[in-house]
Amino acid sequence: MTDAQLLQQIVGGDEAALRTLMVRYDARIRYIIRPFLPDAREQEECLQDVAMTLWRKAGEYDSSKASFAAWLTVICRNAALNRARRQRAEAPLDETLTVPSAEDEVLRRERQRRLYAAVGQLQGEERQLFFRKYYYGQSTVQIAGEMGLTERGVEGRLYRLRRKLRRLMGGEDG
Amino acid sequence: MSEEKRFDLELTEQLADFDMTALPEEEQVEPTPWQHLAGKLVWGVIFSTITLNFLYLDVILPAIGMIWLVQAFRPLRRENGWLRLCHGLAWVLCAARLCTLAVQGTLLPETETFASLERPVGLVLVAVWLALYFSLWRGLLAIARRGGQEQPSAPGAAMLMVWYGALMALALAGPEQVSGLAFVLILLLYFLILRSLRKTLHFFEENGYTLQPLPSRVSDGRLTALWLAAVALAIVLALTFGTRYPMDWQLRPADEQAGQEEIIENLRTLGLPKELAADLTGEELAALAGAQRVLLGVGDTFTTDDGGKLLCRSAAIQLPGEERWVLLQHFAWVEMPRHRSTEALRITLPYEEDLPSHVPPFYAADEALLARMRLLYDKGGETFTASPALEPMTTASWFGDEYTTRCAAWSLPRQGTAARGYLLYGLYRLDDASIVTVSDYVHQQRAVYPALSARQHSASGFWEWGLDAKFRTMQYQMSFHYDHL
Repeated sequence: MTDAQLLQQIVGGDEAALRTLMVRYDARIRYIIRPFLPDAREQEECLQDVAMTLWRKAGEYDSSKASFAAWLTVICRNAALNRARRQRAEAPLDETLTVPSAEDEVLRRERQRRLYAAVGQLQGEERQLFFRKYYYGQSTVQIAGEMGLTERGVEGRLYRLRRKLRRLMGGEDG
Repeated sequence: MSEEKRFDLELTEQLADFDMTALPEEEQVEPTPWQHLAGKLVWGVIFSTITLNFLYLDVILPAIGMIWLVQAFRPLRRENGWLRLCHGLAWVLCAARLCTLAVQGTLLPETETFASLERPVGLVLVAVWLALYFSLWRGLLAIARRGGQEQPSAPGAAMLMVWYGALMALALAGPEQVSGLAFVLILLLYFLILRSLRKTLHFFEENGYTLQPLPSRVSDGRLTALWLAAVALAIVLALTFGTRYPMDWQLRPADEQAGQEEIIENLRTLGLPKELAADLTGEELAALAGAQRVLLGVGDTFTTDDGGKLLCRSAAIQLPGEERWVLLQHFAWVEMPRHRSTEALRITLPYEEDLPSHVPPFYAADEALLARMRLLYDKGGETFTASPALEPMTTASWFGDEYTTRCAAWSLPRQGTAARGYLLYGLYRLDDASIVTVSDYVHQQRAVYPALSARQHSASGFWEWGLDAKFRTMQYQMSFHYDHL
């Protein structure tokens, strides 16, 4: 049965279809969430989060926008990121932490806009490296193994990439 | 917190809300451990098997393909035993490729020993390739099984093994067994199989079959660069040290012609240039005792692209007895050529001409003075000599039939001057026939890869005369008309 057919069945309330989809993509889901949640117990709980999200959002999937695998990847990443954030929130608060002002928020949004524009100019290996590191949270060791690089090579490339992004964002390294 | 670390955190934070699916599909980045490996594997297989005979792509592409196969299996060597075996076999094939490329840069393939080893070594390599494809198939099955696939399959890898085995069986049966259409079908099948392999890998990629690639101490890019440098070095070393024949140069005894002064004087009086007589051995001079006549052939000078100038001369010396002649064909580098790797002299001796059965022979060999070749050069006031064998060589003619000539092959000394040599043989003239022979002196003017000797070039067919800048074929005609004999 195809992914689209299984999604249709999930929309119709078929739990078995959800289980099938979760088994089919188990390895991929774990691959995406592992960098954010190194703890095995957290990973298992995150799998439940992903299943819940799939159950709720199955009807929202639009095949014209992205492949199912890509859509699922986003769901997994967001679930893992949310869980990681909750973990951090449970940790004791930093005494020195300050609440951002409205002005800070405007500046943050402006920098975010510049960053997105800068990322749009990245190509090939740089683009892969950027998203693996900052979007998928992969470690230097993992990136090195999967991209045929040494750890030192990855660190060097990331250093150059950050300088380039600063320059593209209008920072001081220009 | 350092500025660098702060920016690092900021990038992660800023991307927290980023929606990848909002990007156009072609711009979306979906990492999997398979992406990089699948590319290396498929292109490694393609480059390793492809042969494009121009711009040295038949050397470069397979070399790159081999190292890409190593790079594809390197991070997977801990995944399972089969993939570990693949990694080892890929290195074995790499080493074999390096050896092959180095050997191709030498004159070894010209030797009989090498020719006898070629087939068994080739069969071993085919077995290694089959083992690699088999291990790949089993290795992918093991990953699929571990990933929970109920009926694990990797048809692309299995078909690749079968296809390669069938292709090698066809190659052993002889390429002539493969018609044009069959060739197209084989090629088509090959690409379908590779597509299937890519599909298998893509399936693994989509379903995220787990892999834990190992980071390496040397990056893929650096490994490729190091490997290509090793290949280039092996080829350069092979071309530098392997493209010359081992020559047994001997110091010419100062008294080699002692006691033959009278014969030399007689020959000089009859008109034989003294520098020609000066190169002969005492034994050869003794055979020329009592010479009655000396006829000189027309000399010819040839130049080569690498600055050499070759002077070819000939003489027919009549000895006492019924139409008994000695033919002397002499060549001397008046100006030494810069490139000194291989030389060859090819000739059909008058008494070995292939005549129709109804035509009686015009000449008979003088058993007392069979054809011999001698080379000489000077260095530091001394003369060194060597005697290359004048061996039969079979060549296919334009019309497809084969004919046999004699050929001597040698290398000029790296140092030294006045390199020269001669061909000497005796014959009986059985009829009132002219003595005409055409010889080809082939000089290699520059290095060739894969290595090709002047002898091999000469054997490859005379249609290449003068057209190939790597070799210079100098055709000299020794002719003595029957009116003068």
